[in-house]
Amino acid sequence: VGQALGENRFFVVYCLANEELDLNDIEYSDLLLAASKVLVEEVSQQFPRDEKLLAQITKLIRKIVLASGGSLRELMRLIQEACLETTDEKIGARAVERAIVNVRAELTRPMPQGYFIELAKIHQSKQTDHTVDHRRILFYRYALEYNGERWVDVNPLIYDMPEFQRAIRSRSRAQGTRTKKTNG
Amino acid sequence: VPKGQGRKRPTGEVKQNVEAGSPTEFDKLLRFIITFQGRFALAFICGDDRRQRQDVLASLGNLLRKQGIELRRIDLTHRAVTDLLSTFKQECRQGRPVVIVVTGIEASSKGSLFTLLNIQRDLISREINGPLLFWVSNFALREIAREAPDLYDFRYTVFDFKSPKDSEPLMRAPDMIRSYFALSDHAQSSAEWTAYLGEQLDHYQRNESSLGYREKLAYGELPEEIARRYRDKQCRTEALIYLEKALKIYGELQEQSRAAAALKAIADTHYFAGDQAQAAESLEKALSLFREIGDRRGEAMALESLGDVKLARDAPEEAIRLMTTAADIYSSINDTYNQKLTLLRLVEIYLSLGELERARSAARQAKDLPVPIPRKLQRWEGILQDLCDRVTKLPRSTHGASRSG
Repeated sequence: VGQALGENRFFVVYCLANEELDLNDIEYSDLLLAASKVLVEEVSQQFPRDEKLLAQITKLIRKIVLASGGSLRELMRLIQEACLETTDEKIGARAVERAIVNVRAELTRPMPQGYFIELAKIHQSKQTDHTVDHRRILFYRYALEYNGERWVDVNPLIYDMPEFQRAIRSRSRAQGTRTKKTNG
Repeated sequence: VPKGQGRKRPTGEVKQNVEAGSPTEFDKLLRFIITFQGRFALAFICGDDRRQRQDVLASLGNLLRKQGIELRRIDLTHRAVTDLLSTFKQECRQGRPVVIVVTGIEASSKGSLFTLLNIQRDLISREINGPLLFWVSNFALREIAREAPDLYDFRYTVFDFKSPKDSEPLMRAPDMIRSYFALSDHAQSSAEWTAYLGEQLDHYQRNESSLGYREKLAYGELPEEIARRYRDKQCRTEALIYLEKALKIYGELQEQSRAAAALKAIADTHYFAGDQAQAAESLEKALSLFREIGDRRGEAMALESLGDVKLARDAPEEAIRLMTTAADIYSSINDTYNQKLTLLRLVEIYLSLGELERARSAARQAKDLPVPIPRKLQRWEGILQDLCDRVTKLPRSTHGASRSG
């Protein structure tokens, strides 16, 4: 963020999500957007004058925060990677894109293919069971767990992967077939 | 397409997929090293090509020397180490700006090095006051991510150097697989292990067109290994699918010896599934391949198995003829162990046909061979003794020398 603003500085953002959100009926993206909003507010307090730059930064921050899944560790990793990927003084859209691709590749490097099916299951039920596979999925942060009414969802970096999308489609098809059989 | 003088003739070289304006992996690596002078930072360099590694490290060393930074390489290719902390301490003792690059860590992957590094990561970060880089193969990095997840998480980044097509692998693919077999003995029977092998197979399948000869051999070994696992679990249909795949790969590579062994495994699977016609067909093919390449032991084994198939199809005389030929071949190549086992099979067949004299003759031959009977078949000692002592009564039960599946 510091580089994006042309300044060699860092921000520490404290995000008190539970004070701002109703966690009893929360949507996955709400929490991330709230985190993004806090971050953007912090930035605009520091640099309120350049609206155009701020709008551009806001968009990138929003993208990077959404990709982090609300996990600060992933957020920092994405920012680090974006810094490495940039040749300019500022982090641009391409650097952010490349950072997301790189961090996704690093995250999923040790992941067995079979986990995509498990992740599709988790994505639909928003919870994990206590199997070894699900515990590993949480350990390696393939899925992230959120507080409050405890719920779990797939790491957004994995969400866009074609393998995961295929797993969701095949699970939906299987469920459709089962429903048809039950009804028929 | 631009025309005229400025247009270059295509060289046919593989180009890195680099967007205009994006830094290359080398640029990023250099920037990382310079940024983290005097501060600890861990990163992995992932690349499977030996020549590429040499070139990159040589260029890096030259560029860094100009900046007054020393690149120290710790090469572990020819030794298996269990601890690296003391080595790191020694390297950093002089206090000069330094970057440490560790190569050849694959040789230590069978031991506890990854686990120890996982635990020691914090200590290491305090000992080293500069960037620490591990140059690893794709395979090893995956192992580190699985076996040492905290160390992997400790990374700043991974620099990914794609291998050119004519690459010279850091570690031969079959060695890699064998090393993983040794590493994961505890997990070999699990479904996870089979799934892992399946993934490796997928990986090879996706990159089939760019595989070198050695990798392709490994590509053939994988389905064979998966088939073995399915066969152990009596899942013969799945085993056959994978064996056919292995056979196809070996056929393409013209690896006749391996193809023949795969054919024999296919035949054995058919035999135990009760499909004797298919078993016979595969064995005939295996037999002709073994003969073509002059593999006498393979030929004898195929003949013996073919004898079993004939026996199952109620053609005992055919079976006896094939097994006698097999025993003769074993004898000609001084394989007394297999010769003895085949003779025991013959004794068993003669006894089941009530042909005491022929059984006695084969028993004598077997008894004279100077190799002990395997522990599983120990009771055959008594049977052979009885036969050689010219008892007139047939032993009550002779089952045990036949193939087990």
